[in-house]
Amino acid sequence: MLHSSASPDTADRQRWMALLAKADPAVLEAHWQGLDERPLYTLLRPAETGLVMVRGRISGTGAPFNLGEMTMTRCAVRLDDGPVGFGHVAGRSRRHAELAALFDAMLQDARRQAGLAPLIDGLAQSRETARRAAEAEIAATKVDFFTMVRGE
Amino acid sequence: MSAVPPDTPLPGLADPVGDSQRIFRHVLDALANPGRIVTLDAPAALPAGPFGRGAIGTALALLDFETSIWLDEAAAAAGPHLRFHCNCPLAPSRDQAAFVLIGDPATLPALDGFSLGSDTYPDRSATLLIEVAALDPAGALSLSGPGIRDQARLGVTGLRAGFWPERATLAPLFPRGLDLILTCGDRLAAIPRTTQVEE
Repeated sequence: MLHSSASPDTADRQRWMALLAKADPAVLEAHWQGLDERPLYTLLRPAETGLVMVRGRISGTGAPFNLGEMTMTRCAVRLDDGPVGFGHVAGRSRRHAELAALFDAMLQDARRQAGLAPLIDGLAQSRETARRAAEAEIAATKVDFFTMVRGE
Repeated sequence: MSAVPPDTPLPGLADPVGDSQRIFRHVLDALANPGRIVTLDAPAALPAGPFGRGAIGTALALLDFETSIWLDEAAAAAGPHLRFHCNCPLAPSRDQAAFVLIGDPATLPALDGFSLGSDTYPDRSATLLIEVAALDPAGALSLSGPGIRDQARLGVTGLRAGFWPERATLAPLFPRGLDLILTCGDRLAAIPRTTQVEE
């Protein structure tokens, strides 16, 4: 991943795109329906499902290898007042990809960004909570192995 | 739709699979019957840059990540749109492009500067998509060759002077050569390398 070399703007966008992609589609749909003013938009690329090759590196440093293919849905929208948004989500939910693209486009607009901050913060929080819950569950089964260390 | 920056892509084909197949069938029909003017049934392919629905629809249906394209100066405006939807690479020079899009036929560069293929791989030649000012089913050009019974007529407005004699000099190189798709708005006519054109 190239997060470290990205500019602050890019890093922000990567963060919200990742959160939108991993969010519960029902939360996004509810937020969209609850917006005071839903922007008009055009589908540049209607949501379509395909396969992407997932690659990995052993220990994160070894030579890259193909882990396998996963299903992915992508969508691109353009708001009628300018910004273009992209949504790439795992799985086959076309609506989720479209919503992710819409929110991505709206978040690039400084005037709308402030209004959407609670949504993004909420997504980050619920993701963090879920991560902690999973960690706690795993930590409960942790086994510590002690090895005698010979004194030098 | 106000104040869209020029490099913003436009919507592509509404039904990528169905529309591409329909367009492909039309282009095939045009290539099999040189000089026949075919109206492209592609309501979803929007005009971009200097090109009408015919050229853009053909490009959206035929281009993909393996076909490099070369655009003349007038055609450059359509570049972001095609690159977005087709993922086609831009050829580093015009002799390496599989598809050439010409927005201003009056300034078309020399034809032998495009890829003519090789005797072993004549299919590696370029296909030229040229947006012309007018196509006329009863024009001054007389076409003959495979796919044409006796003779066909076609009128093309907007090509630079000396285009047809220059094209004729490529004929002895067969199987190498160039295939032309002339577009005008939502209509197109094809002139493959096997067709003889007399003015």
